[in-house]
Amino acid sequence: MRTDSFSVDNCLKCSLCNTVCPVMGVEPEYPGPKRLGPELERMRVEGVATDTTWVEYCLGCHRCDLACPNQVDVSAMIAAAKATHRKPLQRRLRDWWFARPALLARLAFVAPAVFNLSLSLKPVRVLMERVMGISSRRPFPRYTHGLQPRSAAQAPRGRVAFFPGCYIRANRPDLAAKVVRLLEHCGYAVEIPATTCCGVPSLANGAAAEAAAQARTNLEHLAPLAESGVPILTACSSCGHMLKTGFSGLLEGDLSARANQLASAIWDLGEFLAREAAEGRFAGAALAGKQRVAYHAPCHLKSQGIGQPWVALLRQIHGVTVEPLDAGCCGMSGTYGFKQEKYELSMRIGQSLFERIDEVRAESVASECATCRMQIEHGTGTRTLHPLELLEESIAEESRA
Amino acid sequence: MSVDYDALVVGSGFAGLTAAAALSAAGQRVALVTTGSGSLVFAGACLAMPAGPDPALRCFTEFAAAAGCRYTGSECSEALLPTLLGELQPVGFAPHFLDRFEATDEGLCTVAGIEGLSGFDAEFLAERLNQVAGEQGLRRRHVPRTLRLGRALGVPLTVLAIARCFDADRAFRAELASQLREAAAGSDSLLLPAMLGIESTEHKLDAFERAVGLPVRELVTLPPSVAGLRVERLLKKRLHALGVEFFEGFPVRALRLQQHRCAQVEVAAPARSLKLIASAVLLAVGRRQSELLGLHAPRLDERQRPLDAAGNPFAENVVCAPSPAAAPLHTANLLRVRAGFGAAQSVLAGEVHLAHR
Repeated sequence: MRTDSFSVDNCLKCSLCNTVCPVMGVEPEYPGPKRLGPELERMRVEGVATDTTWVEYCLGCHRCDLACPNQVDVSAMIAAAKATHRKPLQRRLRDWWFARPALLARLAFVAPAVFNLSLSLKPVRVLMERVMGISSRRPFPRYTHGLQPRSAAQAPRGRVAFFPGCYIRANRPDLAAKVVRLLEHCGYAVEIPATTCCGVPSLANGAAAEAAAQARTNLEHLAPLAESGVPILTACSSCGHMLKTGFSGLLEGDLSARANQLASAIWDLGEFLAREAAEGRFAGAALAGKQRVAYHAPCHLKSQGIGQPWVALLRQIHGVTVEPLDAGCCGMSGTYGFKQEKYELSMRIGQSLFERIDEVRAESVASECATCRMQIEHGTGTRTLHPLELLEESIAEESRA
Repeated sequence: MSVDYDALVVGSGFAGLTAAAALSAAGQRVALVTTGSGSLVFAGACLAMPAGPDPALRCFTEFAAAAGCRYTGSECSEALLPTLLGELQPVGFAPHFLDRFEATDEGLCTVAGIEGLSGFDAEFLAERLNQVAGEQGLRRRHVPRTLRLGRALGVPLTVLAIARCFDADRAFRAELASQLREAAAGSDSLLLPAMLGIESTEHKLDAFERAVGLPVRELVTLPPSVAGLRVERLLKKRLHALGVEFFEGFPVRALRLQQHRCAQVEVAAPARSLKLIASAVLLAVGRRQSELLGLHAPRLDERQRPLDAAGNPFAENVVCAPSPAAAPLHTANLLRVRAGFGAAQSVLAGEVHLAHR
């Protein structure tokens, strides 16, 4: 994606972007990426007012960008339009919070048990739906006391850094512990620097300034590591996408150059471990008892252009069969599916995926994206997990044996 | 990330898809790198009639059939494909769901238009087809009908919107089937703009046809071509099922050579080039070929390897499926299939990557 050049003129109006848009597939009123992106952009750059009613319905999945034969930055244009779009008050107030998951987590850390309990009480959820437009049908993930930064000890193969992202930090710090074990198994010392939200939720909720501020903070913490040649790993596809695109062009000048340099040090965990696997580091991995796992590739993994490394990785584990689902977008898109006005649309988008999961009848579904997992559990009741959990379990079993 | 593949195909148009299918069928471990779609998605993905038995075409039609997208046609007689403007285009092989005129056709065909759908005029088309059929001594007659869909599918109404509703909504399919059944009462067949889903398989279309109660055929429209998209989707799904690994959305930035071999293919993924390693590299990139090779319209040797100005192969393990010279669409498509198949045969002949083993 070239966010530094004026790509509107590249648009051929071929409509390929429209053919892959998950929202357009189920909502005929949605104008689609061709219109909300390059068509309206031509007017926006001239300062002409345009109807932006539908821009907030863009999932930010980037499938339009991938389908475009001519490198038009469709989703970036729509994201820029989101930032200038004026929402109704209720949504502005709600989305202010959705744009700041790190802040929300800090509130939860005060008393996670109380926070979790409140968010699970029906009357509270009904009130939240009425007052804030947060769908009461959508379970909230449970909050913990969070994850502390950690420094790396010495190790034979050197240091790597791990960028947990808000979900792992606030809701699943146990996943961070598993990431550390996996990387230590490969001979690395793992550092977890202090970082903040990657900025995807802010950008998705139209808070571009907040996203830029988060980008600057993360750049400050991560750039020194990248400059010393330390690989920085992510286990969340959306964080990975954001970091790999130099924070999506939010920064300017010098900072932008540093962000692009940082980007070249970012690795998706699966991408990194696939290299380790190619060197035989998971040769003995096995799980007692056969497992059939379905795999769902998150949209923000596809946008990283690295294929689907976890499929081959999981297949390395003796006893595991993997069924790639290849059934489109789950429809959750982070904070999107929590919103009252978008809940039903979100579930309709995910319908083909739910049906495919039912068809395949796997015991569990693996996916790197936390909100994909939430959507799949909500829509099918099937157990979900991050693929790293299976690999970690297999090496834990191997070392116990 | 470096993983070993037997063959890496660049490009997912007719040439690339055929090459990947041929290689995969022969047991090779194949990776396919593509920026998205080839030109087959913009029209009906039809092929001209070959001059005789054609192994490349056979490979392709077998692949398509296994993909759930059967092609119909004959190696010895052309069929006539009606176009949007009522012309009859000669064609060799076409997807089963596209309408064709056979010399033996008789009876009445209802041409069904959709109210509000731009780019398809049922009355004009029916009149034109009657005229053209009369001129060519063909006995099929056409009568127009216009349906009003029972759904608001956006303004302006496009075949894409209809197709995506068709894919997602069982009730819509049932409603449409009964509307068509009613509209075509008394006819022997039905002709529609291509709109019956991007995700439709042969099986699903047969079921729809049974619900309508008479043969239903589609006509290629202006892009977005639902017909082309449907074919591409099925062919790619088949390749997935055969174990071909896809790297989609980003172009190849460079072919890295080491001692006359392509050691790595660099894909321009975000942040860091994806480096793919394969024993053989097959370029099916159409007009991008010159840019990737740094050679303008290179000659190919007998193993389909591009040659530089001095007559030496660009690389020992790189073959090309060259872009056809200007030709009518269906002919160009056939040439692409042949180019892809030929390049795959070169790879399979083993000579290309002999040194590596």
